[in-house]
Amino acid sequence: MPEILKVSGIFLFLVLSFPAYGKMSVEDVVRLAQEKELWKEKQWLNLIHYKKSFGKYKSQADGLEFFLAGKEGIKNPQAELIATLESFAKIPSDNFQNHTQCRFPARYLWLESQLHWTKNTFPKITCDAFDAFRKKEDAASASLIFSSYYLNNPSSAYGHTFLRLNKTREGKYAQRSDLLDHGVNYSAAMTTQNPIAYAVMGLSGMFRGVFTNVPYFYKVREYNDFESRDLWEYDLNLTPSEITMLVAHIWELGSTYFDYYYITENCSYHMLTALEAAAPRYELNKKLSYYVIPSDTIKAVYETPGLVSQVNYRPSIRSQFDFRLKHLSRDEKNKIGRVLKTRDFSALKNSSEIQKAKLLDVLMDYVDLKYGKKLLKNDPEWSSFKQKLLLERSQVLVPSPALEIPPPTQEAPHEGHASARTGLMSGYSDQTGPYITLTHRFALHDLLDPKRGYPSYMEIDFVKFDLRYNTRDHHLWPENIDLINIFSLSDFNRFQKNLTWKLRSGAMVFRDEACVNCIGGFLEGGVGLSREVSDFLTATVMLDTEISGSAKFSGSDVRLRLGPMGQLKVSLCPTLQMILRTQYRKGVVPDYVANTESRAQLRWEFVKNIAVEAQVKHFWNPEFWEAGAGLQFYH
Amino acid sequence: MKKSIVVVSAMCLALAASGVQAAGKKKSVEKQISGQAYGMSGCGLGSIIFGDDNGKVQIFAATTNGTFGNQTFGITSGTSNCNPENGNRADNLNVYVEANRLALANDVSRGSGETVEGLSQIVGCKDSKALSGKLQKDYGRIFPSQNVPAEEVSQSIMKSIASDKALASTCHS
Repeated sequence: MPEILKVSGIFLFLVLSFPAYGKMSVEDVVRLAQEKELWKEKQWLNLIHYKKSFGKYKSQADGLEFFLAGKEGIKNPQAELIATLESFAKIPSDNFQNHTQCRFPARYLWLESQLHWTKNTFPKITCDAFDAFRKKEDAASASLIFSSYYLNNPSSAYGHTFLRLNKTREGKYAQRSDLLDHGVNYSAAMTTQNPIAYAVMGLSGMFRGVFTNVPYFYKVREYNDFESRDLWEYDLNLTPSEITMLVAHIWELGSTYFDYYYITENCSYHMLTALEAAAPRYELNKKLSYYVIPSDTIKAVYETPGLVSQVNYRPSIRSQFDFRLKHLSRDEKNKIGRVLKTRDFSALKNSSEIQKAKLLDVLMDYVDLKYGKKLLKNDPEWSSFKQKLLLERSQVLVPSPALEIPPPTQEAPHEGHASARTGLMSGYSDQTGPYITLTHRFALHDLLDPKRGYPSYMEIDFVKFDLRYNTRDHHLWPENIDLINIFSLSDFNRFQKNLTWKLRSGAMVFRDEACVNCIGGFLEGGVGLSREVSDFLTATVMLDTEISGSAKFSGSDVRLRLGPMGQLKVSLCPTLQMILRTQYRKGVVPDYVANTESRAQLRWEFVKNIAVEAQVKHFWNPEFWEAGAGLQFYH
Repeated sequence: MKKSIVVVSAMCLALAASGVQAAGKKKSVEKQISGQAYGMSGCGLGSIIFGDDNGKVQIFAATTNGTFGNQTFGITSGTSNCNPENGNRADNLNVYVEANRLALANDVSRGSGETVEGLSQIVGCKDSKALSGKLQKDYGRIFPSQNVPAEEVSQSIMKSIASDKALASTCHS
């Protein structure tokens, strides 16, 4: 061993043993880091968001200002670590806030914990902006929040996740309200209003994803109230030093950007990378597949031993209204109906104070739910009715008891079946013969899937295909490809006259008068009414419109068809669903003979994530039957 | 075959367009949240969601909104000037009132609720029950209409507290 190394080894030993007495120079610190090969440590790799692929590291951060070793830092963890240490030593210019000690507090904290440098190793910098941020967040714990599916907005249809930094809740702050906590949100900074450009750019990473910090009440008002989405809050088990690290790392992330990929590097993905950077003992990202669906990240977090300490449910305005309404008698419902009709309170004249308070509370929720958008825009009619309601309510000096809605644990996102599904079915068609069908769905949930984890009123499939193989003539073809399929069922009742709607697009094999057995593209939409007859049975009628096109259609390549559809959805138990559906379609342009299709489908999840399925279909004009059965796997 | 590919892809694009347009129209985030152009009303949920285009439905809610800040360090607030911790208590209260307007009016008239609890922390009142009882009585003075400016709502809240000596003594001024 060369003499010099021996000497430095002894020197290091002395420094490490008596840190209070010696002074470590920057060179010592760098040397120690080299010796310890700190850049190989998991937490360093997490903090810089390095990902290893084909044996090489590359950071997922895309803003160059995140790297102190310049472009080299993007792919070289060692160079970045050394450059970071060296930059900490720079004599500050006039603006302390731009000093790397202030810009990268998490790196500073972690490296300090590994290298134990002395007080005078680096120039002392006060980071006012970061300190103010830390004080403002006052974080004592953190929660991961899931905002439920919102079918009316394509970018929120799969749900959304964000972090909440929870303020101290001890001593005099014991009663602190969640509303004053802060959310940390990662989202794409939209640069286009063109929807087609949005779709393309969102999928190919052309938007910048940035972290932002928003008071939680904005999130609650937006999701719970305005979009009527339930919020699920997962309190996380993090040590105080992990929280400190999380806050510091979020600060760092605020200064850079990541290319936003709608289905891979999205909001949910980066919530987990941020968490893992602060608490590397939880290996979260390993659990995710390449495509990241928000509810899958919730499952990954929930299934990590020890990470989730508690799950809270924050009901949306719709859930609140439904709950209140459910507890009213028929007579009380009639009174509400009369108030809404007459717009005065004569119907409540004979009610007790308590009953009056209760009914006015339902009415307030009703107006918020139904006319929330109008109220936000100060619509004169609804704003003045709302004001009348509130004045009336304020005169009943009975405080409303806190609304304690039992969480619909059945719908909790962590309970959901895995979002991808693959199935194999075998069957017979008297038109095409014996067949085997391979089905794969990328995401997320349809009406036949087990109910757990998803609201029972929605179906959303993103990229689903059925490949069919004829076992007699050894012929393989795509039977059906859904690029997207959204089906939103809403109970049409006295107080909520909501429409049921669907939208579906893709390609399929057509078997009707225009063509038998030719594949064509289609876009299908429908509007109708649904009624929850009981907890087990939902009936739906709709009017569907279909535009389909194929070069093989007789007459015209493109056509428009219309027709009614009727459906019964039977939920025999949470794991066993049945659908009976019949649809009639008549060509409008060009004028075709009508045809119908009827089907009965049954799917039963008999073991977690494995279901058995059976279906019978009848087609008329041309007339033929097909029936099949098989297995479906959720993964 | 080529033809059908064209047809299919045209339909997919049409779908993407219809889905997105159905959801509405998006606005410039900077303006909507800076609050400068609007006074405190720029901090309301309406301006966050509708932005400049008041008549149109939202497209991408704030979920997908980012910021357009070109700062060199630190994390931006998604609601830049509308942070209840940024200023003095009066500003904080104004932001809070504006952002929670509908829910707060409900809770004040109900004499209970989470937004009044949050309010009691901002104004520094220890007894949020007493506070909500008092505010309920004064509802008509605090919210003479649904669209009274947040600054006036805040002032009326402070007046209401001050007018009740027992309550005021549990609030630090």
